[in-house]
Amino acid sequence: MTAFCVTIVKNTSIDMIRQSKRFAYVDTVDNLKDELEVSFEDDYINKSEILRLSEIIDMLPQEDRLLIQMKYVQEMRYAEIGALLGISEETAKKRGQRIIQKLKIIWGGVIPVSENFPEILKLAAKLNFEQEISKTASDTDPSPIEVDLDCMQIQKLSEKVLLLPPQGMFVLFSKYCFLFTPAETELFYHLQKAKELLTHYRKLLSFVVGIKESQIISDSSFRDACKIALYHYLDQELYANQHQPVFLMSKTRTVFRK
Amino acid sequence: MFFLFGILTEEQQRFVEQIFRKHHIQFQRISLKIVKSQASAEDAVSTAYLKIMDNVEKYLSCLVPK
Repeated sequence: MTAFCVTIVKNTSIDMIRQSKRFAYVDTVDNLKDELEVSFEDDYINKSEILRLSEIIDMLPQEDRLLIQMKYVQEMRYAEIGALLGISEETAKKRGQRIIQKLKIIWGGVIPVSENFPEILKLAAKLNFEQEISKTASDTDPSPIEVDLDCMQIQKLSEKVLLLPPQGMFVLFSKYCFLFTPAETELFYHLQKAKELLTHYRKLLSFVVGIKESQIISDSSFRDACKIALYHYLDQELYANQHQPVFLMSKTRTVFRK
Repeated sequence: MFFLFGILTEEQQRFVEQIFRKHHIQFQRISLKIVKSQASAEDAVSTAYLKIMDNVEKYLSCLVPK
């Protein structure tokens, strides 16, 4: 809310200068912008804008929020996001652009959004993700109901596990295949908040395979799916040149040691 | 501004009031930093309130999750 209003105040003030032209030493609005960029106020505004945008992201429906997180936190490409959600790259891209447009409207109102919106969006998405996983850890709500999957769904889940960003695969394989504790996972993969990340990816995959929001896939189903996924992963490692599915084209992919 | 405020719904009025109470001084400071004059800053902030009220409906409707 604050950033929305601050943007209006800021733009109205700049408009007032433009109209009055009383300050001849201000050559362009860009100069004014440069001057303000280092100021305390601007720093405050940027922080409040990020916070404000993070709050807006939090209000988005789950599917939109997850897409923003995948794009700007996990830095997945639209092809990878589409593969994970079971839609085409084009559809994922259009959906992403629609969400970004929606965020721009809510965040900026009638005022054109600033040029650094993508950067602010990225920071806001990261902040929102951090808050979400911290909230997961301290959640006082009752645990979601665990559901077992049938064979077909487990097969589908195993395919989706391989489409996750490396961090997601790490935490799932660590927990369900290597039987690491969260502390061991953090130590081994140099990660932070492994337990919270595990909960996040469990929720994400539950959403992806079509489980209700109040439910989550059971540990036993995850164990079965992760074992299948790890088998396929190693299989791909051994025969890497024969077939290259989407998940193996990831620029951020990190190879497990066989 | 007074008349425009009168035609807002209760929810919208509360929203604008909340902004005024919480952020008015901050808005003055930001505007003063840009326009370098107390009078112009007050004008700019008043105009900003008009814009906020003009768009409050759109803004609040966007905030409602699906």
